[in-house]
Amino acid sequence: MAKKILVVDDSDVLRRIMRFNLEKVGFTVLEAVNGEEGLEMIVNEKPDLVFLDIMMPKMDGFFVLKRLQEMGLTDIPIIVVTAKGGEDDALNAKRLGAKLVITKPFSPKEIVGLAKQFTE
Amino acid sequence: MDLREKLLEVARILGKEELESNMELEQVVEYLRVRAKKVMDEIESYREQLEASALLLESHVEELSKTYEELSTIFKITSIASRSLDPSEVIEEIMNELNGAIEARVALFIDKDGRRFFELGKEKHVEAYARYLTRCYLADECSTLVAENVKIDGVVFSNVLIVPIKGSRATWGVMGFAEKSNSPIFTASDRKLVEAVAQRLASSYDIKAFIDERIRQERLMEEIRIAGQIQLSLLPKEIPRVEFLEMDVFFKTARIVGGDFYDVVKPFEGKVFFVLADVSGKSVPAALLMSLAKGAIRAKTAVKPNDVHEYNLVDLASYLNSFILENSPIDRFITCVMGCVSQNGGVRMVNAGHDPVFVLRTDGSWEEYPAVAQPLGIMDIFDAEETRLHLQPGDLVVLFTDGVVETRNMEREEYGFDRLKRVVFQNRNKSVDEIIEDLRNDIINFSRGADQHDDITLLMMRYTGGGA
Repeated sequence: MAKKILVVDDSDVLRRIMRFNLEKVGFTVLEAVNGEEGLEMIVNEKPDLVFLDIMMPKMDGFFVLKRLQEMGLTDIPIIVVTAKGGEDDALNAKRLGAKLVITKPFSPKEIVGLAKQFTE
Repeated sequence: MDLREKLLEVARILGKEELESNMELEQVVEYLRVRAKKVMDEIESYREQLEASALLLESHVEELSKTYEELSTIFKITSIASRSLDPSEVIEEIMNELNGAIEARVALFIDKDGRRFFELGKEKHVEAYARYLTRCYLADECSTLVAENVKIDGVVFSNVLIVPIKGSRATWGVMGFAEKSNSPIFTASDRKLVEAVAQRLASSYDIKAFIDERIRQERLMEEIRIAGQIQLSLLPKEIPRVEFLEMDVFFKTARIVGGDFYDVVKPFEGKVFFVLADVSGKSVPAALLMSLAKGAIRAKTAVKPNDVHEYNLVDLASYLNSFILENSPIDRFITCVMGCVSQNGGVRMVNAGHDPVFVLRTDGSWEEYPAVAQPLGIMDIFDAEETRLHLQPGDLVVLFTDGVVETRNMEREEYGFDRLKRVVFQNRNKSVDEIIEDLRNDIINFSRGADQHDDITLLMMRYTGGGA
């Protein structure tokens, strides 16, 4: 059965690019446009991997991570994909449970590589 | 409501035109059938349009994804290139990153010294390609090449992409890719990406070359500065104090090291030996010869305390002539005046190709003692006679190098002998160090704004007759 990857990002374009590249190699891709929707999909769909943006309306990525920690849902690997370049942001994300932080612009090939690595 | 009326109601919803209420059931059914077919046809058409749009969108996304990948590659490569001032230290990593985006099965980087980096592909392909890249690089016009079906030394490459690394100072190397995976051609996008990276690398190479050159220049300047310090240390720390001679000197090199030199020694009581010389040429070579000559003179004139013999000046000049012929390049020579002043006022000197020695007598008359022999270091045989004169108390002896009289101003006029004599004459009643100071100031005022093109040395002696 194909592994499920959830992409949480308010940018249509970036979600499209990620979907295009991940589906090409056989992943099932789910999308959420903000943190609130993303949190709901994590709880309901239990994806194998989540790519999570930080700067989003309604609920940002840090809040999603914090809520997941509070709910005890820490077994789903989360890779933060962010435009924020500060080292503090990366540290913060890792402290809140993110497995990895990558910055935009990211390499689509790298995304595919990480998806394979974290869903093995 | 019977079936006919129900169907008529549905037909009215679907249809656009007014329908008559008294239509027969068969008419309503036929109408509905036609209408349904139209709707199905429209749906089918929309479906086809949507499919086409979806395909178009897919291809846009694919293109966008590629562009995103290229952007990410350029960012990464820029970051790698910034890590080191020496591009050759990061070429392998850069080529690896670049080929990750280009996806060629054969890839190679050759720098201008023929060193190979990142060799990827089967050996025979790489070797053939390396020969081709080297020829391309050595060709007068080495420019980007994108081509298909290229045969190189018997090996056929289905596609090639070659980009030279052209900097502002040199062509630093060339990158070559061949046999692109998953595509029969290298695209314009591939070319743009590789050219962007090539420009970045060229910049790095240019910067490194500039820095290396600056370091070399700084080192050379430092060595010249040290040479200048050593040379200065070879000059007399001070003019020896002698009862019968009041002496002073003005010495200024045109560059950090110079070719003029002078020396004044008091080998024993009642005698002063002097030499003033000018080595042909300037800067380091002249300075080296000056140092050698100085050393030779000092060695030759070292006198044991109990020896009281006179220096044989012609022998000394002859010795120096041979020394220079043996130890310096063929185009170097030295003009010099060397002499000996005795306590009783007697002066013996040999002027070898140098400017005349001026003597200002106390009655205000000038005497000139020109060269009696050729400069040293020109011919094997040195033939000369000593010049002898006798000084009276108050007489001034003026020795100088041609840098003094050939000092130019902004109008390219020369300082000249007459001006030199005039200044000395006008100040003849002052102390020697005051006259030297006046001359120094006059030369500076005369040349104000113009570069000093030759070393300047002025040695002045006034015979006081003291202790005689």
